[in-house]
Amino acid sequence: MVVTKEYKTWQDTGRTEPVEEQNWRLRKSKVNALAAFTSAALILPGLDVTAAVPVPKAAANVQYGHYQESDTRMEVDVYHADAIVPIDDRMEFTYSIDQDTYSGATPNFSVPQSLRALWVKWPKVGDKSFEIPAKVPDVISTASVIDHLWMLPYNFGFKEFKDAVNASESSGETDYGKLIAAGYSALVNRYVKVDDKIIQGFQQQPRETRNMPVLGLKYYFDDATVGLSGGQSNEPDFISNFGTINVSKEFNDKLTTLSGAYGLTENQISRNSGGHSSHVGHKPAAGANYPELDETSTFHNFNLGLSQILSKNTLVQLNGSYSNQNGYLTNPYKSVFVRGEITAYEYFQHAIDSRPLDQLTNLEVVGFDLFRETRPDQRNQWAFSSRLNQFIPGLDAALHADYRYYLDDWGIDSHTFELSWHQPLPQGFMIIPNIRYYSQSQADFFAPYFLAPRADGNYSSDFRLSAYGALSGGVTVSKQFTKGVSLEAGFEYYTHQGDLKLGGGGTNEYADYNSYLAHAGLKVDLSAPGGSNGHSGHSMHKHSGQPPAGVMFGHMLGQAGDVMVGYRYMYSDQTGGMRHGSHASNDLAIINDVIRLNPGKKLGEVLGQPCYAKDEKSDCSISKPTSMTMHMHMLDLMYAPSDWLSLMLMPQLINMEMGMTTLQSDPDHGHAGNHVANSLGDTYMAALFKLFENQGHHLNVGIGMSAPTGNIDLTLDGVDSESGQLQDYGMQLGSGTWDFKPSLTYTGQAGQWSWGAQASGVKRLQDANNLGYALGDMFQSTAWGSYNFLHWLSASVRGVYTSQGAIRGESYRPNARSAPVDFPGNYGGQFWDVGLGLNAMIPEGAYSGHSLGVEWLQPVADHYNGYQLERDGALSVTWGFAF
Amino acid sequence: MMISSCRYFLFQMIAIVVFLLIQGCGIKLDPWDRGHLAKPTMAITPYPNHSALREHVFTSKEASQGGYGGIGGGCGCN
Repeated sequence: MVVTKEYKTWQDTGRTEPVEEQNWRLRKSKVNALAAFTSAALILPGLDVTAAVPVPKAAANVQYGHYQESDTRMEVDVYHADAIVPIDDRMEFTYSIDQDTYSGATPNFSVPQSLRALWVKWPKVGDKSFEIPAKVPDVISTASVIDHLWMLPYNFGFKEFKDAVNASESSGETDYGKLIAAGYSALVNRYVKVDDKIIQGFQQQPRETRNMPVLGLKYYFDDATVGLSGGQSNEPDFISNFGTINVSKEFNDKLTTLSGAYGLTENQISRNSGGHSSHVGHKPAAGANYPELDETSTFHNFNLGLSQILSKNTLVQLNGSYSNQNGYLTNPYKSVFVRGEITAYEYFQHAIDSRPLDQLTNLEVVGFDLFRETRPDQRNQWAFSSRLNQFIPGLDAALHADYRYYLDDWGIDSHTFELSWHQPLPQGFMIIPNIRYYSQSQADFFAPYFLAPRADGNYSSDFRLSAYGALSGGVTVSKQFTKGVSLEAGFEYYTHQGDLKLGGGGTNEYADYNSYLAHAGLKVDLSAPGGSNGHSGHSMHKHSGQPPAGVMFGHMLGQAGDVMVGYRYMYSDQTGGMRHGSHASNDLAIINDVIRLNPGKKLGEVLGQPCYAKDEKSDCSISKPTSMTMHMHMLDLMYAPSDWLSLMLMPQLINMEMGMTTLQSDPDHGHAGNHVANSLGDTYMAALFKLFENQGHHLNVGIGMSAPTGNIDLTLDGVDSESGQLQDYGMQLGSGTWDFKPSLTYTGQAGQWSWGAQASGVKRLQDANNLGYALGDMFQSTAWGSYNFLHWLSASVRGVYTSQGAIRGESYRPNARSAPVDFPGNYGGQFWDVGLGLNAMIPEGAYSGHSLGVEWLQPVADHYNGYQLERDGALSVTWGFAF
Repeated sequence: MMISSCRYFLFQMIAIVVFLLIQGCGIKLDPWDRGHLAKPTMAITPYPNHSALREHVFTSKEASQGGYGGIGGGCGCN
């Protein structure tokens, strides 16, 4: 087909750099006479901060990182994408976006081990549960401890407590307060043993997502650069806005570069009640006691850098930085244990006066209490680093040696040593082993727990402020493919140990942990050595083979060795009313259906308390969805090992949000609010085979698989636990099963007209996923026609029929049974859509080889299984670059 | 004690900088001698995205921040 010929033409055109492009580089370098020798030297200003010319062509990166701590501690998925685009020969523009999703347990405080005996004894207080398992480390709700601990000995008379009171009484003491004080003293002495082993209390971090977009602009003068960048980091309880300016200037025939930078960061810190859940709108967990928090902090950062070439094989960079942080620098969720200084008698007076805890001053604490940590509201930090890059000519390798000294006025100083070896190997491979050692002293106000209150009122038991050492080592492997594409993957193991502190004296081993960081990245650099140098001189007139944007697996690469990198965005929206079959449904019908699906329950039970769900913590009233939006970001990678085969890999990131409203008069019992789900979805892989190609007719078959990389156990409260109540089926990010995705696509064209048809399906290869259900199989058929009304632009009309089965089986995990979305029968159906689309393919100039497609799918008829929210339509946007 | 060690360190750093500048000013490198320095492996940060990811993890888990020239935004990372 036509596309094939075009690719051949590109190959024939050759890939030498256009002459004009070389010329402007030479102009800048002012060494025209030595042009033959200098091609490498002219890239030299590419030494990071000293870069004196913008990138000649655009480059883009995507990266995935997975961070995992030992046991069931923190786990973070990090997604990153960036692009750098030259605007003219003086300016470049950068854009990056980061998304982190994190969950797991995080240390909250530490106490002497003897206190644990007390925890295990703690009874339940009414319906406020402490949820303290008997095992160490204990995951406990700090909030409830803060709320209730101070009353415990009084309310629940421990044996030691009673014995001491009795002993005091029999020795003649009659003052009631002093009797109680004797009891407290006995308890404190019994349970807070100073030489005791230390254990940590943990807190569950609900699954949360952070987004960080950053924009930047860099302007290049003859021997200086000015860069501006700004962005926002956004998570539910922490918003950070930042901007930086940096200036660098080259001296001394480009052997010396001086740079300076200033950055301003403004943070807004809040604290979600109820254990900062992403489940907005839900009632806070019982016993949660996080007061409102609305604080700010401001950071000023300054940096001065000097890089100096010492010889033809040696480069050194020195940096000094100063940072002033002021405002709220405390971690709003961490606690400290303080065995106080005032007497138990005074403490008892507080108890009987019923003075609220928040009226106690820092010096009024005693005994078994946990308090929120407090840090100074100022921090001045200095850091100095030196980096040495040594080239080893015999091995073609480079050694990087870095050292950093850090000091702050919280009493912490640290040393960081790092070595990495960059060894190129044959066939574009590179291997980079690295080792890092870090050691820090503790903050003045750090202690595992506190025997007495501090006069300055500052306390922290955060392991990050303790004294320790950390050793880490890893390896990264990268492979440079032709055409400017490179892949990279690495792994690094990290161990944090008190004993590893330089010179000894580290914090006790209780805080030790290990972690690893794995990452994989893809880079497309159009100006890299061996990169594609564009397709100038070539013009494409025909691109009719491009199917509409909403069609996947529709086109193949034409030529062996061709590569395509693309991005596919899909948006779908459901905000219409509830539908049943092909008709609108009223609320009464929904209520009756949910009642029907909860057999054996009385109407009163269904409509009110107690709950009729499988799990006692479930919500108890009938509700319905009001809106459901989904954004899918898919990376589209395609490679043709031969001209009859194209291989595809498509990982995707999904963001979903669903609004619910209660169908009951009492809104307090409602399951109303928003549910969100953000993370990696299932990953598609496909092999497309060319079956037939002749005179404008093309037929290909796709053998595709979907790997279950998307989570199916997202919970309503965001906490990853076996007992947590799951979000409904439609809000999970994947199918949980391996799925077979076959497709058969025909495309044809004549003159300015082109057309095509595709039949595709999804067959679940497993009867059930590990939660006991499988999504319905799907069949889809579609046909389209398009017309080229400009030589680079075509418009398409498409019809689509989709049939999807209901969910088979049922999740065995507790989930709500109160809304239509909670039942497997209310999924799938038959759907008819009409699509209108535009396809553009840029035939020449700086952006040749790029294609862009947009399509809107408008539902025209539906037949839903059961009760479902009406579809409003779906938008698909695709961008691809083939080379 | 902290102040004196800081001063000592500053002094050391200044001494190193002065030494390097003297060293650096003395050398001359012709363009054809700069080939090794232009290799991607000799860049200060050959893999900027990987470096940024590691930096993000280290600053979230360690008390020390900054010093490597990059200035970025914050997060309330636990």
